[in-house]
Amino acid sequence: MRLVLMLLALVALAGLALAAGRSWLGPVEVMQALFSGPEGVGRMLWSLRLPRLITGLVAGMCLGAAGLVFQTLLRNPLASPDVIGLTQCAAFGAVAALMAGLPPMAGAWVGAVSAIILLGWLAAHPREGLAPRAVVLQGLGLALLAGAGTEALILRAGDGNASMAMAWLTGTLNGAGWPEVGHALWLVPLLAPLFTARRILDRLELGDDLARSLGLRVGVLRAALGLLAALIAAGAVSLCGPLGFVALAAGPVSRWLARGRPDPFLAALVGAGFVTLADVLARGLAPAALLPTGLYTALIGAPILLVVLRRQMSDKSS
Amino acid sequence: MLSSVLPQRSVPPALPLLCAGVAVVFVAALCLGAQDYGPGLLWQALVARDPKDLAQAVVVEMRLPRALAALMIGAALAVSGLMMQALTRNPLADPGLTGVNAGAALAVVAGLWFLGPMGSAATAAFALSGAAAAAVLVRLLAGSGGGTLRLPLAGAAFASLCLSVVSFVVLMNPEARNLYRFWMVGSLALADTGRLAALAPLGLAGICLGLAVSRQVESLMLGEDLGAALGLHPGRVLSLALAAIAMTSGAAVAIAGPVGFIGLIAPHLARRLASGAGLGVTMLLACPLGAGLTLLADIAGRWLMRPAELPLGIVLAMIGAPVFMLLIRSILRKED
Repeated sequence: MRLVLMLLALVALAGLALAAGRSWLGPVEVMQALFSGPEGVGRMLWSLRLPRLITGLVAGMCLGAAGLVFQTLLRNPLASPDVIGLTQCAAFGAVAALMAGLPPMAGAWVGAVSAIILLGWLAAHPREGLAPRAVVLQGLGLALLAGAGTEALILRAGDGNASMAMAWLTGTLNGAGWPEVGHALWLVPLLAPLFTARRILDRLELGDDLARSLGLRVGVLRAALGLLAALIAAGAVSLCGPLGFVALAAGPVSRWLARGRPDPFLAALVGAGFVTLADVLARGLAPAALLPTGLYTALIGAPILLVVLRRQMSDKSS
Repeated sequence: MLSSVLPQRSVPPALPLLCAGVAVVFVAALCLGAQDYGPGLLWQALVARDPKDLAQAVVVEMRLPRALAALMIGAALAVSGLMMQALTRNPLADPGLTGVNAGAALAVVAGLWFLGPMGSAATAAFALSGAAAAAVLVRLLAGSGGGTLRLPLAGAAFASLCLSVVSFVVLMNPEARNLYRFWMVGSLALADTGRLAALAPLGLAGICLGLAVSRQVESLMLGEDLGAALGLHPGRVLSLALAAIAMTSGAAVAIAGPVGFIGLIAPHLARRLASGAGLGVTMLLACPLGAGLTLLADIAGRWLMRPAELPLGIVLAMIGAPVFMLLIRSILRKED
């Protein structure tokens, strides 16, 4: 039921995203344009708004699912990929690849995977193994380091790259077209297995010992889920830059919708809705300013973050 | 018996050495840059200034205020960080990492948004109030318990929240965009004589206040009961300490934007040098350490990619983030 409602909300948001922009379309006009195909009336819709919508939806799904998976694996509602440095490392890798003339998606993946390896090495404890809080804190340092590195790379590239700099530091859907949709489709096969991981996440949340006694191979599952989530998060970053707060906010919201249970599919839908809403605001409120979408995701995500922080404060055990 | 009552050496032996080191770095900061000059030119500019000489003008009018600003914000942020660490009993507290600097930056751009371009005094007032609010918030966050490691996480989330609003405001405002593009990430590019003259007194007063209350803060942190027995007023000491944090951080942010990590690295090095001496001695050592480090980072930023420059905040993050990660590693290993 909640899933159906969420899907309906997403469809409504998508319709709004097609209608919004410098020239607003009515519902009838949107339908006409959609069915008339890329020629004629629907040209603007088909060449600009539709690919932008699809890219945003896929990126949002990736970020939302990845956020929930990391928050569950690390047992901390703040431990999303943008807090523990994965998205920043992916952005760094993508920018470095772009400057070397390589495909940014490959760079983002290399960045995210090396971030995971680095975190594992930095946070490893001789006796305790990999403690979640160590991963989270080392990730915090890594995020700052990679952010500074990206900024330095962009400054090195010289002036005239201000818009590119904004894209890679705050995330934007400006300039997303059909080639980006093509890249985005690569992420769907990686996203699908995460959607089936609801049971596994549920049991992992009971604690490692209990999960083990239920017959799960905890270490392998953790590594596999973490790697998959890192890859899709990095893929989303390579599409539209590190859209802030999407991964962070989608997890808690989806848990609230699912009565406290981790559900990656729901989190993906929430993430997709979140990005679409932010993009509607970005194009609807100030269409001339061309502000990056990431600014609006941050503004919507901020209140959610405050709620999470407040809960953490009142919950003394974590 | 007597040695435990009497204060130990009041001036630590490392202090003069550190000050000499800072003086050397200061001269280097005046000489090095997009164009390198010898110390001879400095001497000439100092003794017999030739108003038509371009090189002397660069040194006196651009590099000198900038180097002085680096000294000031370095010392101020070191004091701010050390005080914050004492108040939260957390070696990872830093005005950058906990979001105090970001809060001050947010207040400054909020003022910019509502009032338009502001003078130095108004900027200082906004930065001060933003830093104060954020410092109180940090103290609340840390006071709610939860161990050493929650504060930096909650602080990072809070800081990223403030900074995204900062970039929102700056980007919405085309005038501000050009002026504050570098200030936003922490840079001394805006530091000039007027700004420095207006804001340095605030920072220096904050440093002095920090030094003055260091002993009371130390006693208070041993336990409120003990503090009260020693005749302290816990509420008053706490608000003075928070005021010192807000003044130092606020002045630094108003000049150079949200610069992180100085408040983490300088106090850490100072604690090592002070080897168990009190908070006041550690603070005395942290001042030249912070000033020297900031100067070095600014020199590196101007020199590495010249004639372009790498903002101070980025250089410091590149040095500071690895230090932060090493610190966490050692804390986690020590804790159990």
